[in-house]
Amino acid sequence: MEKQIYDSRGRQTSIARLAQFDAEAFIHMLFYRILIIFSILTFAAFVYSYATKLDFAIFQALFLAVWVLFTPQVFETAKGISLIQTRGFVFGRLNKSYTESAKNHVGARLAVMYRVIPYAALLVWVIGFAALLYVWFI
Amino acid sequence: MRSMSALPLYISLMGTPVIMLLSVLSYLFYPAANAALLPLAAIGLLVFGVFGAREAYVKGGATSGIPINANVISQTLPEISQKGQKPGGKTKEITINVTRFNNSKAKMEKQPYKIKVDRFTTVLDGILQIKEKCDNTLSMRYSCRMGICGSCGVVINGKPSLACETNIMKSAKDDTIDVAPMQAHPLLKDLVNDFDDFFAKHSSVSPHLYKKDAKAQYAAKKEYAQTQDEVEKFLPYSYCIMCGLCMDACPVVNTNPGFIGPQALSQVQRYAADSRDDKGSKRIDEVNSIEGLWGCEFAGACSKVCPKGVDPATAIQLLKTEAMDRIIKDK
Repeated sequence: MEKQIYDSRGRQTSIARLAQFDAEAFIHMLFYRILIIFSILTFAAFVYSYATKLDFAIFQALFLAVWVLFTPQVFETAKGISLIQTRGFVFGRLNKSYTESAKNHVGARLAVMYRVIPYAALLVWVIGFAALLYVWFI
Repeated sequence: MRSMSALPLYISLMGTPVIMLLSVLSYLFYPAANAALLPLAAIGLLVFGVFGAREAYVKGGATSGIPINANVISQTLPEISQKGQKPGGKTKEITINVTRFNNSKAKMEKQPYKIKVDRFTTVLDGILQIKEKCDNTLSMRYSCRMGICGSCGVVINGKPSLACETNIMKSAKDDTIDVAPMQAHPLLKDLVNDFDDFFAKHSSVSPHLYKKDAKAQYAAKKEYAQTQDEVEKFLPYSYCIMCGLCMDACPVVNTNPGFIGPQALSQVQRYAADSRDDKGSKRIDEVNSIEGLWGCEFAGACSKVCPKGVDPATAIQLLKTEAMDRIIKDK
């Protein structure tokens, strides 16, 4: 007899489930999905503006939106680098008994450095956004 | 030297064949006496065989080399009966909203159940209470009740968790708690998911040590010693209990059923990082695809819900690094 199953996989709305237990992951995933659409639109706006030599305002607005949407990706990428370099000891969620007993603990100084990297990257990214606003509009 | 406290045991052990021998001899030479000897033999067996042996086990077990734990008997009977019976404080009525699939309407529906709980009650206890007292049609899966088997994975207040490791009182909001089946696994009934696809993905990565030499694989004559560093490379990934919570938390598995998922990928890392395994980088090649490790978008939710600290997100990022290293080296 064939099994009767109900499969609810395959819906993009399932991403919203993350909001209930992991806000950071939810923002990361939501922004990434919107980013896909916006980056295509931005590219189209760039080609249109370049070809017609008309106003770049639409492209500039879309580019700023892409910059904002890309912020969580910058943070997560920097976090991923810290995670890989420390083999999960920084930003990882490894078993506590393992992390207590593992010999190859990351040194305290290095751990602080790896913890700071994503926030430093975020800061540079925000400064870049402010600089872009200044150059284009002020 | 053996202790004298074990003497009743030796008497009972030797007494039994002696009484039996006497019975046989008396039957042969003086049958009339046997009728009197049989009750005597029975009493002898009872006295020496049961009480004598018990006495010897309890008092002389440790000194006579008999492996028993005499400490158990040091507690009085009321103490033993009270053990584990401490009251859990005030009981409280809590509503458990169980999400069940309505076959006739083809949609999920919440069904509320009111149960009494104390501060020790877990969600699994609550579900079992519903099944025993409120609704015996409710289906769930469980086994060990102590977070080892990984059978009772459900979604509690939106978060994939083990029902046996979640305290009801701590998790309830306004005396209400929501329990639903996992959504990233096909649903069979109520809180029971179908794990066929999960295990197919798990077995697709050959989750076992592989040796090139068949003799070493199936009839190893020596152990494969590892240094502490070598063990540490794969140890956390070997804690996986295959509960499937990471798969349920993963937004990519939820949106793309073709993605192999964090559980299988963490097992790739577990065996690829093991110095005893001869398959090594071939394991990474097998999952070096968009449906494999590159499908991961690094949300990190899998690691957040893992009850054993396997940290699949770290495992996958390490696999990506290994895959990139191989591409660079090949070029």
